[in-house]
Amino acid sequence: MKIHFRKYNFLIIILLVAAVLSLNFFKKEVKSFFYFVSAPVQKVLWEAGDNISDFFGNIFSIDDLKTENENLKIQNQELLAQIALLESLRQENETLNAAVGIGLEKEFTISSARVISKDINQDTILIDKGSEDGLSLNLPAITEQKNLVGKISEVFNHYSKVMLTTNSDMSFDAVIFNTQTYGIVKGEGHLEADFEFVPREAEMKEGDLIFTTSLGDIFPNNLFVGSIKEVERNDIESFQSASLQPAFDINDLSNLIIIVKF
Amino acid sequence: MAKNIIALFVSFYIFALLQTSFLVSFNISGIIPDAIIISVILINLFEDSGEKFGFLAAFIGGFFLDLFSSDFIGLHILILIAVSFFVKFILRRYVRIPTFQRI
Repeated sequence: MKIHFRKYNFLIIILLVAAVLSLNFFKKEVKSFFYFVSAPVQKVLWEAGDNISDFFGNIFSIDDLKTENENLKIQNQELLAQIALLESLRQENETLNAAVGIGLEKEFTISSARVISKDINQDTILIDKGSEDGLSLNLPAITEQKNLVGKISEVFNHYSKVMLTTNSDMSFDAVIFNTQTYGIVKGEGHLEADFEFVPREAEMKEGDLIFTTSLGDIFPNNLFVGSIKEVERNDIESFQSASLQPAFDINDLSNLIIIVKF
Repeated sequence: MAKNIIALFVSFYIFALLQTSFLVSFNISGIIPDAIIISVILINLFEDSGEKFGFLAAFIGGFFLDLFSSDFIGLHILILIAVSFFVKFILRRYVRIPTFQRI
């Protein structure tokens, strides 16, 4: 009787293992079904969590907000001065282009999507558009302010997973805006990223702005990636690196723009 | 037993939904507590070594973690079952932990 019972248990375990492994052949359909069922609830929960954390965040960080506000005002004035300079350069560039006959900048084909859920542990988010909406793997995802968020890593029928720029599997070419110094942005997980392989003699400081380049054909040019937080320089190594403050705020991500063609 | 399975299924599904939507807004330096893993460990800590409920909890909890991750289905199931074994047969053998007793 005991042997029969043990054999019965063993059979159940084998069947369960086989059932779980066979689900992987239908992984997309199974996950798609659960996302479809969960999406309405997750949207509500995410909005509720965002509102509650905003409420308590505002109460506990009034002093920080005041300091941040003053710093942003100063930064805003510096950026306005830069915009004025860039505007004159743009006009000069347009004139030169017209004279030489080079084509103007390409336009993107875009699609908007809503964020349904976020997985901070894996640095991914789920959006409500998929293959049936014309999305495919590796399409860039940006915010409405043209800040780079990541790229599509998994596509289902009506949903897609976006890998954030801070994901540990993410790395791409980028450039420092002011100095045109090239480097590699490497995700470190848990919403952190580094800017690496910058030549030691290159100038890099806290607050420098990092933009994408079209090298490697991963992202289009001039998408804002983030700003330098802290530079790490070593006299022995040939390269220097820095920690990045990503351009996006995970708590503020509600709508994304997917660049379908660039 | 069927009631327990249904209760586990519903509870872990709710935990998974909370982890991927509600709790995201309360992260501390990009970290949020994994309620499913904590529940599985607690269930295994407070039941007898001979009981099987903890393994069932590990299976169902791992299934929901796999569904909401990018990994293949079965990875978190394996991990949580291994954790259950560790808690039941190694931790419990060498660490004295009070268990609830029926009156």
